[in-house]
Amino acid sequence: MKSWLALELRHFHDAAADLQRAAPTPSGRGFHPGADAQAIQQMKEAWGRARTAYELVEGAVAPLFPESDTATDARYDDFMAVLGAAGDADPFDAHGVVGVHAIERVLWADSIPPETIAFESRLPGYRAAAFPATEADARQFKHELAAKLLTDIEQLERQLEPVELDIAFAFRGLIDLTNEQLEKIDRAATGREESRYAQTTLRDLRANREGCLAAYRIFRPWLLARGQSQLDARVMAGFARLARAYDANPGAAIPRPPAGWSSLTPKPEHADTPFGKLFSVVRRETDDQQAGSLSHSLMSVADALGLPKAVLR
Amino acid sequence: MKHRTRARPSGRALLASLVLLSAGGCQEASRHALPAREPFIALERDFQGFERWTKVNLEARPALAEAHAAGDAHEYINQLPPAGSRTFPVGTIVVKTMKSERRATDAGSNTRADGTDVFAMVKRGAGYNSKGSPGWEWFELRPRADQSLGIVWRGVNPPDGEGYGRDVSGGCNNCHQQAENNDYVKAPALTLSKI
Repeated sequence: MKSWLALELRHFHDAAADLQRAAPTPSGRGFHPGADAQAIQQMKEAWGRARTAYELVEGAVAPLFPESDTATDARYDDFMAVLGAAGDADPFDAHGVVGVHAIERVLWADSIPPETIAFESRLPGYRAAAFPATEADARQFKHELAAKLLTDIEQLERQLEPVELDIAFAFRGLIDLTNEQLEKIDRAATGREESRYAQTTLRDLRANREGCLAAYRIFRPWLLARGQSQLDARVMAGFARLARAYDANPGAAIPRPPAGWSSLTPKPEHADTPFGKLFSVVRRETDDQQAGSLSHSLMSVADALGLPKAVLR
Repeated sequence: MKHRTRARPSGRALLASLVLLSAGGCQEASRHALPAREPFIALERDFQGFERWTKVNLEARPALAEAHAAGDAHEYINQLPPAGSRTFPVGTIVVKTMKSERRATDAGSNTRADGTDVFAMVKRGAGYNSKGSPGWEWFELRPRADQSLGIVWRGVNPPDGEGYGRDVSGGCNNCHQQAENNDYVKAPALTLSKI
């Protein structure tokens, strides 16, 4: 598992490096959506690769390295909760709001959904997102904000390198990767969607599922060698149900929750909406107490292999 | 990574432990070596069998009725620091168990059926939690049916349901910062100047 985690963190790093390299530093001006269209597109593409790489492993990595997770992956509202009314006066430097979502907020500054603006504008210290407006801003974006992401990923890699992970951690990581999906869709229901500017949270969810499946594949040969093909079939069926739920929604954006949505007590009329259907499947598959769910089957894998079960909150 | 050997103590080590026992107000000698280098990133394996570690005298409980609930409490440390230490060494683990009637009646809580909470603080080092309790990582643990311990949560503070972006001045840090002069460890029996 560790080599897989390290590999995906390297992909995260490489994509962040590509993003920083592509950041333009035009003379006498900031970013221009027309003149810098190619560079902006390159940065967005690299940003997408960075997101996918981290979302594959985030559920397993973040609990071990929460400070690195905050530095690289915290959302605007997470930072504002700490910064308070002073907010982040300089969105392009290496302080205050930083990480992949700070960069996302800049790159998609001209196309942020109205509901995202409505949510964020209520936060104390809020400032509207914008492209770098001056030459100095553009340089700061490249050499501070984008550079800091690279530095923070390298720090994360250095922290992981000496850790001797064990089988209990690996299995816990598998469960955490599963539960990450429920956390993500739950946040989307309350306006705190993860990739809210690029509108790619469904792509994040697909990556979470892929990461979980990749982690399961570490255990799968062991399970099959013990004659547990029926249990394996149940696990794979759970992954397939999640894939179908995600693929029922085209594109990378998570469907909008219906007005008046409640995750605690979804109304019957909301159940058949695209968001309601997606929420229902993810909640069921991540409920380890629900017989036949993916999480329940994964817990059975722990029993079958004699592994310590994950202890959940 | 750090290796935590569990070798039988030598006569010299045993003598050292006895000296520490008399000085530290603790009730049992430790048999746990600390990791050779930092950071020390504790995994579930590092907490198993903590009830066999050095038991800490909790006659005086400064945190009583603050963060930790009243009730039968026990505290264990995997390795007492060397005499004269100004900080606890990286790799130090302090585990506290508390029986709480309030928690026992809290359906769905993270406790055993008898209402026992298990918390731990681990000296991770390497600048971890620098804005809260520098070097220390906080844990909640829970025994499984087979009595092995699993990690419920870990981090610079308890989770608030949001995962990150937490104000590190609250939670565990807020209370343990009162013991900044003792490297954020509150138990009087673990006062560094008296060990």
